[in-house]
Amino acid sequence: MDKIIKAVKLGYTYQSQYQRTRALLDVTCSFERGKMYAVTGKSGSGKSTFLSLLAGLDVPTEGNLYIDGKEIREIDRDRYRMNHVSVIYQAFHLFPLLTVLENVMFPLQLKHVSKKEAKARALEFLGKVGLTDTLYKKMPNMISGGEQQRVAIARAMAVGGQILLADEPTGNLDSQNEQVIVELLCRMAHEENYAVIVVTHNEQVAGAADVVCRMMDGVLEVVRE
Amino acid sequence: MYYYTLYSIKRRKTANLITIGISVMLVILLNLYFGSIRSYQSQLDDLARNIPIFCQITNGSGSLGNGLFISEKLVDSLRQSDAVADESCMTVLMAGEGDFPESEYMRHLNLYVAGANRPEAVGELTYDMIHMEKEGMDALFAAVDFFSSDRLECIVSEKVMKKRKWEIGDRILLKFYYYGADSVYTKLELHPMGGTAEFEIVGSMEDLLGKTSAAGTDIILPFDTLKKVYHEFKIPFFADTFTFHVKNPLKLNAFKEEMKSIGLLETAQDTADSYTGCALIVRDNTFIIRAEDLNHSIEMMQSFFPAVCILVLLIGYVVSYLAGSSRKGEYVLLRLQGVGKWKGAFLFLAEQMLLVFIGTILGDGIVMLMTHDLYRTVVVNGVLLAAYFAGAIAAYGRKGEQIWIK
Repeated sequence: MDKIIKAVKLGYTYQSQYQRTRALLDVTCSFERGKMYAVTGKSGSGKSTFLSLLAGLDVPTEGNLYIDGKEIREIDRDRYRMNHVSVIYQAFHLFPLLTVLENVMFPLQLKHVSKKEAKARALEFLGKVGLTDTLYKKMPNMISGGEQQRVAIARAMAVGGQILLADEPTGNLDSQNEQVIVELLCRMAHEENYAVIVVTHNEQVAGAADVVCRMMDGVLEVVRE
Repeated sequence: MYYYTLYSIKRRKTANLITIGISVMLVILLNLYFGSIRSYQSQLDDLARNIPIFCQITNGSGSLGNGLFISEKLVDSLRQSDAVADESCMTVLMAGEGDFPESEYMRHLNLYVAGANRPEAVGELTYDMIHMEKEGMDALFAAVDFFSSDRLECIVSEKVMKKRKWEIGDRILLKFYYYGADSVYTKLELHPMGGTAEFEIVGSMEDLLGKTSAAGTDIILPFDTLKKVYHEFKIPFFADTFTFHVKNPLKLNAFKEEMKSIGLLETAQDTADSYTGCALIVRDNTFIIRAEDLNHSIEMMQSFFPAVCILVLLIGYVVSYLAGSSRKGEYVLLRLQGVGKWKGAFLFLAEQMLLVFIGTILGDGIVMLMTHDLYRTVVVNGVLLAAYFAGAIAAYGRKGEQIWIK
């Protein structure tokens, strides 16, 4: 299988003026495209730190992280986030000043795709996540949480990369919307060939994953494969 | 990417209006500040006109302002100086009509003659009191021309004209006696000039005696005409009085240096009295007090300039910092989409500066309607945009560094 992410003895230490906190310890694992992974664990166990490293928002303090065979320290991480990885959050994090359609067009326009083409592709992605055109011109605060999360997934599709990271994506949703989002994430992995890595406390989300890992005190272990 | 800025400007109406409003207020405040400095500067510039500095040549002790012997060289130097304005000089002498034997001078010497370069030099005579053959403005021009000429012409008091039955256009023959002094210029004596000169009467003047505080002058000759007469009879020429105004009071020190260089001394009370015109009295007290007040005000206002810049910088910093804080989420989202750290901050900075620029233009419009002062507007814009920009860069730079994406 296509191993898009490979972590070797990955470690991360937060260092403040008064203390050092080791958030990740010797994490060695790999993630493949076409699979959905769930990373579970208690709060403060290092899940979000792990996700930040995978998203290229920071670099590990120890060990190596390879993205598509290249060490994360050696790649342009802004470009990596622009072209290869998308992150969706519990709080959705859509651009508040852009409409639903503009939010999905944004990553495409960042890559200098023409406005016309960006619009056509954004409409396609919005269709794929099941949003109707009555919502397209609405601002994010005018639509429901489930709809906002679907917009976030459509935007992730627009990035067109190989990796989708999700940090508690169903945390603010009711069970009906939760089910829709889980299905969408599975489709992203199985039909769109993304490596989907979901950090979650939710058992239903973890149950839908192909691989379940557990993070405990900075150490990652595979629970179910 | 920059279309995001345009969307933001379009959709964050309240916040943007506040930023534009702050910019308009800053433009108005800065205009008030620079306007105050400009106003003080204008008052200082006008001070020379409003409070002219009067100067008078005196003797060494400063006790005499007329009846002096002011050397021709000094007179010429003063008249040619660029630092001197409105100079009034006069020489007085006595004359008798016709050619009479010198032994009979006591009987014939009854005309008081003054050579002057302008009416004001002769007591309080004015152009209004002089009547030339012409009318209206032409008469004025003729009188001005008379005083600046060296022609053998004269103006005679109406009383003398009537008494001697002289008419304008008559030619009169005068025999002059000039005032001389002893070798140390302490005692006055009358000396015959040694011949006669003929003059054409070109105008008359109202009798000064009684009308003004000046002593009666019967005949006025142009100053340079009289000088020419002295030269013809090979007699050293001296001016009797010399007064003037400082041309540029704002360069008073340079003026005083120049006066010193042409040989004028400061008056000293312990100097022995004499008739030599060698010292200069400069009545500059009022001017100096007022000018120092204005200079002090200007310096004080100018000393606030760094504080004003810092204030604008701080406002730029605070407004940008608060705007940045309220948009931290947007910044994080931009970063997540792959927008670089500084590029993301620059997007917000560009938006902020665009709004400030719009506010500045609006403020300029308001101020220009009131003041029509383009130069000040340009200065205000420069200061405002530079200081605000520096503050905004500091705020967004700091924000860009601080935000930790979690």
